Amino acid sequence: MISLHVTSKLTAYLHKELSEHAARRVEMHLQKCESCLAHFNELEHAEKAALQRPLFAPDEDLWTRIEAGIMAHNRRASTTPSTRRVGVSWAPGFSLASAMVLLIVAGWWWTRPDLQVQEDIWPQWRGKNQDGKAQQKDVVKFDGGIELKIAWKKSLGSGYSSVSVADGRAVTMFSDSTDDYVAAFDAKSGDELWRFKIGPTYKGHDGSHDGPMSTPLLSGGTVYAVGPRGQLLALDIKTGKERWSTRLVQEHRAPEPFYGFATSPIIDDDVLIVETGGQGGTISGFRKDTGALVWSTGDDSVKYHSPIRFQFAGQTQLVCAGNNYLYGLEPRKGKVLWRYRHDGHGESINPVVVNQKQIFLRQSWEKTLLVELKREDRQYFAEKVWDKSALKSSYDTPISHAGYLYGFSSRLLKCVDAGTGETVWKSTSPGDGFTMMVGGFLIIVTKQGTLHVVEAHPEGYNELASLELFDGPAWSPPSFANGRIYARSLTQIACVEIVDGDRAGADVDIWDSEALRFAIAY
Amino acid sequence: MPAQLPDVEEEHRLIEACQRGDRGAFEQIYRLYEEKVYSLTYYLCKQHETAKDLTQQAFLKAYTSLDSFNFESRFGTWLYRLTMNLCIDERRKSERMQLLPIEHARSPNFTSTESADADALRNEFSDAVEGAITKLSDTLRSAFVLKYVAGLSYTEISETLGCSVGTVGSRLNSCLKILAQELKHFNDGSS
Repeated sequence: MISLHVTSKLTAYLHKELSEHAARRVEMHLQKCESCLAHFNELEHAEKAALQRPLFAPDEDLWTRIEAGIMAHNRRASTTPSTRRVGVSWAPGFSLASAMVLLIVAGWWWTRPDLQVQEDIWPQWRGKNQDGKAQQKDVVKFDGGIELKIAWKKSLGSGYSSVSVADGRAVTMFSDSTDDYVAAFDAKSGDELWRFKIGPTYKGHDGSHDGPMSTPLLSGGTVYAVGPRGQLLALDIKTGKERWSTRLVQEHRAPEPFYGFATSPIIDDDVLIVETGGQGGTISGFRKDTGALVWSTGDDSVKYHSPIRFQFAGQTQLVCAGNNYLYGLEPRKGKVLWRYRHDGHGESINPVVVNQKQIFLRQSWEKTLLVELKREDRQYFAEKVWDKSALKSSYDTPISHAGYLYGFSSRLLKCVDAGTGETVWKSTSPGDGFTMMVGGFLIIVTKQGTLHVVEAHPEGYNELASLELFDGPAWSPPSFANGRIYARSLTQIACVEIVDGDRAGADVDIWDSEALRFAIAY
Repeated sequence: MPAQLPDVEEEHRLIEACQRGDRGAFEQIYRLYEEKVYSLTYYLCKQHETAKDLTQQAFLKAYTSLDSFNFESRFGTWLYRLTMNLCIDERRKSERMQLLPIEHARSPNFTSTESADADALRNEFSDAVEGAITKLSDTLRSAFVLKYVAGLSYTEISETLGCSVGTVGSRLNSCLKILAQELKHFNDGSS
């Protein structure tokens, strides 16, 4: 009797969308009706297949597009009267007492734990993701204005090493003119906690300054550092005591670059990765716990390049440049997955990830390149997208943001369309320097020692704040952790806070800062 | 692996932070839902580039409309509904979308994140499932993706599509029948 079958309810039964009573009726029917049971089994098979439908991840650059849209929206909103404020009516009779109540509530708001700065680290050169970007993104506010305030500043010897921050410590390398050191400072107070002597100072020559160039890596309570003569060190981050060391030149046949070793190490799982160069291998992996060599790959020479980790098609690759080739490697065994001949012989060829498949490279002092990584028939290869003189003649490594590259080209700050390599704008301000990014804002330390916050936007150069930070020249990009900028010059190290220009109203959308000032005035 | 969806309380805390203008919180929301929203738009519009545009529109609209989220439902339900409406608008604007086949030759930047071994090529079965989904009519596919991509209940699907709960059941039943037919040769073999 067809009318008694439950085929029309089987899918809902399968999805547990029937009432308890209806489900029980279906169950009872299935126990005695082979036809409906067969139908149900078929649906179950189909259901399993449906649950295996593939999902797709969008390009990584989609978020940057959305973020740019949000910023544009916020900018528009900040130039028009807000309609989302709390309904405080600013009648002429508004009293001082009311204003005080507001102030108390605003004070409570600012001490709310959920509004406090979250833990954030900058554990290596170019930050956590090696993209020059801070993890914390909502520090710089458009609508309230900002000020830069020095939290602490200490004397430091010469060096190019930038500042890494983790475990409450700011770690860098410097020279006291006699010896080179790795040193750790209390990230909050700037007090020196320890210093480890690497060896006699690497003296500047042929236009260079004294001291180390590489930036230390902080990982798992250990500081990994490369000294200018190829001393690869692992130190306890709390005490500065040596855990292990190896010498790249003497023990691993790494040729010393003309200005000394500048490569900054990275870690993938248990492998510490360093660009070594030459016949001993373009790049080498070491056990992070012992320093023992795990693998060494390539025969390209290197100058002052550093490797990065890159996610492509769901797989982590190491991408690093030699003087002639750009390599993609499998990190555990160092297997070369692909290589691209760029023939640049550049000074500091540091790959910049533009999106999930494209990598920017300043392969020589005069040329820049965008390559696209592809995979066909299980083979990886890279193809040139464009080859322009877009961001040339600088040691600054550009920042990729929302489809544009921001960085220095000679002494000009430039915005370059990453898709075409064409310059969108260039600015003589703030002067030659080094970049990093917080949210959509560039943090720049110039070679003159000044600090600047600049909006990263294709419309043009827009500086939000600046500060005379150092007494002398600086040659290192800034870092950012725990809501603070860390920077160093050839003579000093400093920590700078980004303070809301008008804290009472800058961030808290429900408090109209103009109204609050009005109330206080009365 | 896609980000794990938080519990309702945690999700609402994130939404509140977004409503205060916290872009970091909104990025967390984006990371939680990017894959599902993108997949939903891809299955409905059949073109990766259009899916990307629609996903961008959906999240921007979500950000600018957050004040209208009333915390009575899961944020995802609200977001998927908003996304569906954008897809429907887009479909109306471009009838040709209905005629375009799904892009089977996937560009390398689009990867299935279902498999733990992301290095492996998508397997034959997964391709067949995707192919079977393309055979569904627009009406059936809408119900299918809301159920199997967005993970909505019959009631939520009915509210999103503006039809009865019974109709949702009927459409999903049709979907499963078509899938069963299309994948019959797999069931005969290994399944």
